[in-house]
Amino acid sequence: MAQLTYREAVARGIAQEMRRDERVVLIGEDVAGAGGVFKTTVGLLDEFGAKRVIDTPIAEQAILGAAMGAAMTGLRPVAEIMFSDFFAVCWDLVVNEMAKTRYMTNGQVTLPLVVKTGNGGGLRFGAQHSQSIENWAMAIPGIKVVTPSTPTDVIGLMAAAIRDDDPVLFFEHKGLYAAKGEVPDGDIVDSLGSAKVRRTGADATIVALGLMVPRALEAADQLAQRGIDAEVIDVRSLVPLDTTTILGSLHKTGRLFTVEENPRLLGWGAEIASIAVDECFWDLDGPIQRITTPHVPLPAADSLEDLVLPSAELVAATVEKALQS
Amino acid sequence: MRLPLSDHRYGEHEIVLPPQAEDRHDAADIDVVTRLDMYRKLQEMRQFEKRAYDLFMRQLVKGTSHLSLGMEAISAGFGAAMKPDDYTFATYRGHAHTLARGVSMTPVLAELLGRANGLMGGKGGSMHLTSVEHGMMGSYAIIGAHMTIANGAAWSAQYRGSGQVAVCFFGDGTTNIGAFHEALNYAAVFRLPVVFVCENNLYMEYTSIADITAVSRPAADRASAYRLEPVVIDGNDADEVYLTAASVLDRARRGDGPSLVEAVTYRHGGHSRADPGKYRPAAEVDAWKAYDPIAVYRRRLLRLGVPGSDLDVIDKEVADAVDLATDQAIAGELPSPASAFTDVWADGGSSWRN
Amino acid sequence: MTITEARHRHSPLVRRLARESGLDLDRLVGSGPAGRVTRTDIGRAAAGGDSSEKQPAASVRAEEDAGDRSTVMPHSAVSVVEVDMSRIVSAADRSDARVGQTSALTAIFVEAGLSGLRGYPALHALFRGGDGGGYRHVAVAVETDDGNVTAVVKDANDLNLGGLTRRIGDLEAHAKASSLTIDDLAPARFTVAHARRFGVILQAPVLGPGQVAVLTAGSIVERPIVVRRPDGERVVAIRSMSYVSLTYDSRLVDAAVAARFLASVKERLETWRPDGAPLPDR
Repeated sequence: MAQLTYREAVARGIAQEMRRDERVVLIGEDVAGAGGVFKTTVGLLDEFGAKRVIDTPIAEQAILGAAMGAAMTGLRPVAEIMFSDFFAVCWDLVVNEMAKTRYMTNGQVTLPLVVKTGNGGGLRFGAQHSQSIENWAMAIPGIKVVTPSTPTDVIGLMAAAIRDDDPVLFFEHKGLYAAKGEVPDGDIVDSLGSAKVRRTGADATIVALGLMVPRALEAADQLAQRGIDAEVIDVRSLVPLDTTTILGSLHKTGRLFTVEENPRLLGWGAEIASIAVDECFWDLDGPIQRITTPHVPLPAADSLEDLVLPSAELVAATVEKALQS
Repeated sequence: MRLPLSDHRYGEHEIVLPPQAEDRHDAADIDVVTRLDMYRKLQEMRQFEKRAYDLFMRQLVKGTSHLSLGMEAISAGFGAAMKPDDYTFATYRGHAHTLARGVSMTPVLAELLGRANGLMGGKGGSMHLTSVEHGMMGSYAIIGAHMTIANGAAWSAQYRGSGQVAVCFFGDGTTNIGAFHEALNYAAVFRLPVVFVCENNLYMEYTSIADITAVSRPAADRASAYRLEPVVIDGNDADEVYLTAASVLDRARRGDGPSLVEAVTYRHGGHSRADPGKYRPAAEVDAWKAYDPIAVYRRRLLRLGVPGSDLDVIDKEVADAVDLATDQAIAGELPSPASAFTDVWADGGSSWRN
Repeated sequence: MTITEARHRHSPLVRRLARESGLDLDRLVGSGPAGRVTRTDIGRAAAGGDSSEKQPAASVRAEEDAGDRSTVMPHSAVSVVEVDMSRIVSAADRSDARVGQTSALTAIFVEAGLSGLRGYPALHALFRGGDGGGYRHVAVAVETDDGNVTAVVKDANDLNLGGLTRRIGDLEAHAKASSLTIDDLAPARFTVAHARRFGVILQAPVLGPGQVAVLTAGSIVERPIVVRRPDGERVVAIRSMSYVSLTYDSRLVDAAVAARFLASVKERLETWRPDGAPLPDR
């Protein structure tokens, strides 16, 4: 076992797979010589050389196009989009090209690629560098979407993503880069499409993603002191979605809450709420509530950003009030 | 503020005329077998596209179609010069490029008709023709995007040391979009084995390219910005295309990096089926129809001593093949309902949950 | 917590569990927040059919039910409508013996109130007795020399206007003779009162524990009001007007429902006919 930060885990996960398969290559802005602006690819250039770890120009469309063209002709590229906000610049490559080409060609083209990105807020970077956009990706058929919340999951899900033969968007959370966790030695390989119960409980199911997972766990501790036993589920994978785990928990507790960093409308939790009402209506002991960032761009001032991003206190207060009405 | 349509009325811009001489390459060092293959390919493309047009008029081809009528020499010339494992990336005007790689006519026509025996089982349609086994890596509908993807295929070939080259075809309108510039810079920086071919048919969609481009040669005048040579060729002379193609492919294969070729040509029909085509001056259209690449090539072959009857035989064989493909396409079954749900993912399925 | 429909208090989970256990949710008393039936309540009821299920019994049961709220005062709210009683008054003037008696007037108000309740199942459920039958908990305020007492009109739902008049007349006689029994004096959920003393035109009593609503008709007073003639022209006419108020527990009855109930009572009173049938709809 070792203590690793989330950002170190990113490099370790990529290195693990690059050692295993020489078709795995890494491209992005400042990923090679500088080890990444968030230091998530430190050491990779040294270990694997300039042919496999490549610094690109600032040209997101060219970066993703290169990853796609290489993936369709025998390589297994990992491309980086520095801030997930920048996906808007190259969204065509994601949703029109990567997501659809296998389907349109009736299976002739396979795209075993991963696009990793720094997602999420809390670092006072302002509205254009702080968004959580995994819900945008969830809306497009043909793209797999994962968001790990712990260093161990970073390695395991990165491995799973690289080994997967489909395009995977790998959302790292910028606010978690410095977070430490215990990581087992050796190779770690997880599976896409699986959620994890981080804390078992009987009174309510709280479903969270990314940075919201530690906040939900903190809220669960606060709730426990007030006599409410909350179950916290780390969704981890939006596509494929582990509805079995989530709905199974709801069946047990009867109350469902989601904690979403996306702005209100069409956050990832809206879909889960819809599925729950459709398939578990007769298990619901009360309304499903989504705890989300309000529907505003993220403000830059630290006090304002802390106000709008869901906090552990907000989660605990919302759950407690709901269970008592 | 300068506005093109205040300089001149719509459809009354300065016209561009085709070359005068058409015998420049009579003496080119190209063996007659290659030339006859190219002639056959030209005929296949021409007759296929005409049939596609007819079937569209009969409402058997649905949606829309972008025909290559008049532009066949570019795909035929490159098709003859490329190796079987080279990669083609084309736009939504991709029927001729697909045939150029040796894909048989029946699945291509059946794809336009939306049948199960179509090249992609009816899932992609006219704008996305793909045959990976022939190296036809796809027809792409978003302007410029496929240039960045062609770079990726070239990078892969370079990484694997396979000697393959990626050839990417696009129109004059593409030269003004962001992805064009990103792709050229990227290819030049990494010296990728990729050839970019601009099929300049003088019109963006319904607008004269000169009206909305800052430079007069939409591709060639951008080349130096990416440390590439400006290359402009007669896109209606199949031999000129062939010779140029051989040269740039060889350059890429040697590891000397990308090329940008501007091949000037002309559409006989509109941008797509829906296009009325009123924006092109009659004098220009007539001049270019007289400089038809197939007529040009036929006249050259005759001058070189190929019997006209031989060429007539080829014409007839192609006509029969088109008829056969038509019958087979029309006889094709509709795709199964289940096929709408297959091949979103590599495992063949489309499930997003457990 | 206000409700518009009683069944909305039960979550889908609770409804399913009740269905699966063969329990009638209306018979269950909730131990959850704001009186919600919880899955634990269902569990207990399914296990033993014990005190968590309501027992049908006359006034004893009434007190038990009231006792559920006996420690919590209702939150009173009032809604008022103005009713044109001219039709009823003119029937009295034409010496219709049935209308002349005060008990008959009270009976008319009770009947109008009952018909309102029938039109609103939401309210209906609040007043229904445990035996699933009639309005055992409808009471009338009866005037005695010592003031008003509230007396229960048993099986009010089964009585027509004549029957109501007689029953109320009996209660008033007993009240005057101080011979009302404990049974008659049971606390009621729904009470109808007719304020006649001292010309009081509007009365809205504060609810006591266990009371859900009181319908009070104020004194009938002749007043000039604006009336629209059939040809559309508006004129001033002299009409016999009465303010009819509903005092209700706002936790259990939605203001919108109260308003609609009063509108229905008003309609019934303004279209009243001596033979007991309301006028056909306009």
